[in-house]
Amino acid sequence: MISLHGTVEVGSFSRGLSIDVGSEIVGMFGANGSGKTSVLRTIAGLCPLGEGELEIDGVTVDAPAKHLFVQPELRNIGMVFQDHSLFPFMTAVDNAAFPLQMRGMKRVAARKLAAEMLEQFGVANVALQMAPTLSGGQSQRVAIVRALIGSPSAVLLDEPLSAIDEESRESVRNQIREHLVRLGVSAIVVSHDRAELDHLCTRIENYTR
Amino acid sequence: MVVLPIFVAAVATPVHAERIEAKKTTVTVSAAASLVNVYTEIGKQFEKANPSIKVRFNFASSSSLVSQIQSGAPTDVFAAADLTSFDKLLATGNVVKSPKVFARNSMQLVVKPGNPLGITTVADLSKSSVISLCAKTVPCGIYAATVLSRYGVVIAESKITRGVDATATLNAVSTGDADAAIVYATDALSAKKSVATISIPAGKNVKAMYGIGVVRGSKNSKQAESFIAFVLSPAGQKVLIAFGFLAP
Amino acid sequence: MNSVSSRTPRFVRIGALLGVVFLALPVVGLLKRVAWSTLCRQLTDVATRDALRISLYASVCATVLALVLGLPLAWCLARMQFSGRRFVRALVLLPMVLPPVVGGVALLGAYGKSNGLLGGLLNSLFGIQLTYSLWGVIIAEAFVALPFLVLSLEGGLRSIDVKYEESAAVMGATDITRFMRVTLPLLKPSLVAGLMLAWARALGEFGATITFAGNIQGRTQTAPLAVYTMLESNPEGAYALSFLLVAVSVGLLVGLRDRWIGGSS
Repeated sequence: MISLHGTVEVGSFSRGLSIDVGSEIVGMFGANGSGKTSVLRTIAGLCPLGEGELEIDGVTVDAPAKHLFVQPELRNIGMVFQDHSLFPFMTAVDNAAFPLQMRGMKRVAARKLAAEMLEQFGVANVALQMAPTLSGGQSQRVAIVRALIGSPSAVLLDEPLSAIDEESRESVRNQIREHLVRLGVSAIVVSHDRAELDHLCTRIENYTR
Repeated sequence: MVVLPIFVAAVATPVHAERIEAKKTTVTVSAAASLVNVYTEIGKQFEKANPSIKVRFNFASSSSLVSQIQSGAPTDVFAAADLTSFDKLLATGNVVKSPKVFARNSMQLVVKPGNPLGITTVADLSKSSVISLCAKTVPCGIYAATVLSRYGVVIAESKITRGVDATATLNAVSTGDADAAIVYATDALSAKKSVATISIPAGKNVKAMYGIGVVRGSKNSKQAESFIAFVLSPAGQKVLIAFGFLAP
Repeated sequence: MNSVSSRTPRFVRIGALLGVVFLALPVVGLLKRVAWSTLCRQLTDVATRDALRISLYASVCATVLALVLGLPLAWCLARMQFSGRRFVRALVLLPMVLPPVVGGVALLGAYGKSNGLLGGLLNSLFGIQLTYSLWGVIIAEAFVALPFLVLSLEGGLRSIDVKYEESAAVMGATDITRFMRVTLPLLKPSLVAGLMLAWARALGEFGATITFAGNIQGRTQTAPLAVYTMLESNPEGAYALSFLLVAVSVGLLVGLRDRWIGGSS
């Protein structure tokens, strides 16, 4: 459950926004630079709200009027960043295992789970490669695994399929949807590709300026 | 474009000035560190008395100067805090005549102003935590060792900080944290209020003989001799006494 | 493939050659002075062994001290906004531009037993004396080495993209975990380069050490001090030790390679 009613800081100005997401995959469609990433960053806790309130799973995590702000590390969110942001000094499997280790799982068990999930997304063959050596499509899949693996309360995806090649898009999309449905969490997908959102999401919000 | 003429003028001026001064000869005097104050004064008076001669000094420990001269450093006069330095140079042929003794010095004990540790004689030095002495192989260090042995005092090496010359040794007490130092009486005098002095009785003290001589290969031997003569003259001796040296 | 910028004019090549000769000649000259036959005996001489032991121990401790103080400093300079920033930066760079002996005199003014601001207090309350002790050597060396470490670390911290720390935070990493598992690995090249430079500087320190910690053989006489002292009494030993120090420095620089000039080889 994600509930945001307030203003989001986009660059130097604020943008009013009202969004409620239940157990569904909501797509946010808008051109590049319209501030969609800022919305995701605000929900994740990387930027504060200008005004208003943000609730995740019924818990208020951001309310400027009440001086309430919960740090991102406590919000249990899975996020796929636009440029993947995989740690360059780790292998693919260690990158994928990181969220599990942060929730307390031991390294060996975490790596095992991560390897399994990497296989599901078709990148088991590069599991032991260092992150900078992966191709765009490979690193994006690892980023997706990393976002979904920790049983998050909410999942935020910023252009999650942009680097995936045409043929594989459908299967990756299906994988993502399957995982999200299984987790039963709220998810927001941001993209400038309308067709993509149509295929992946249950509902689409227009976020054009 | 403007820079070039200014640059040329700047370079040309000292050359022009040097041509006027070319009538002056420069005498280089390598002298022991303990002579820094007294020789600077003597140098001034000598230049006044001899307007055609300029004196340039090079101060360092006597042993260091011996090495310099043996490596061929160009100098006209050598003034050392002992005669052994001259023996070394005689052996290597860097001086040809025996040196003239121009002054004597003795050692003194210096402590922090107010004498916080209540040191009265050299024997009390075992009370202190760190004392400052000159390096073992320079004259000042050898003299200090002699004084200590005459008192039968042995101080562990781990409590001795070694200064490379007399000045540095004294500074350890005046500026630093050393409790005491054994330095030349003349250095103690120059330090004035920054240290308190305790005299060492003549019976246990040393007589440091300061020697001076012309260095072989000097290109200004006439002027060098003239400087030496001034040091030995009543005028030069007066300055030496004023700074605390004893007559030869 | 002969682009304009890669053609080197002849006068530039000659200038560079002169530069190489200028730097290489002293090293060659030193090597010529070493008495190879007695090298081992000189290096195992008591005074030399003491000096090496003290130098090694003190320089490593000084580097650690510089790290303990320098990392927080670098962090604040790189990531915090605060008034008086320029002053702090100038203070950090001060030991680099100060003549080492002046640094030593300043250290006396702060930590000297007799009338040091803090030193006097330490002595009267706890009987602690920092001067003329191994701690004095460590303090003097850390004082001059600190700027090198801070500069390197600050540069490294500034160049790290925050996006990695952000994604780590979203994944549940708290402050310390983020620092240990993400920031430090990203900082590794700057950290290593900074530590090596700081260590080299600490190892070679002379002026501040001799003024603050004194020249006590077996206790505070570091290798550079020993070379200086031995020049008169035992020149052969001085050259032998100098050769060893040059060898260590060269080894360090080879180890660093291109990392500290920020290029790739």
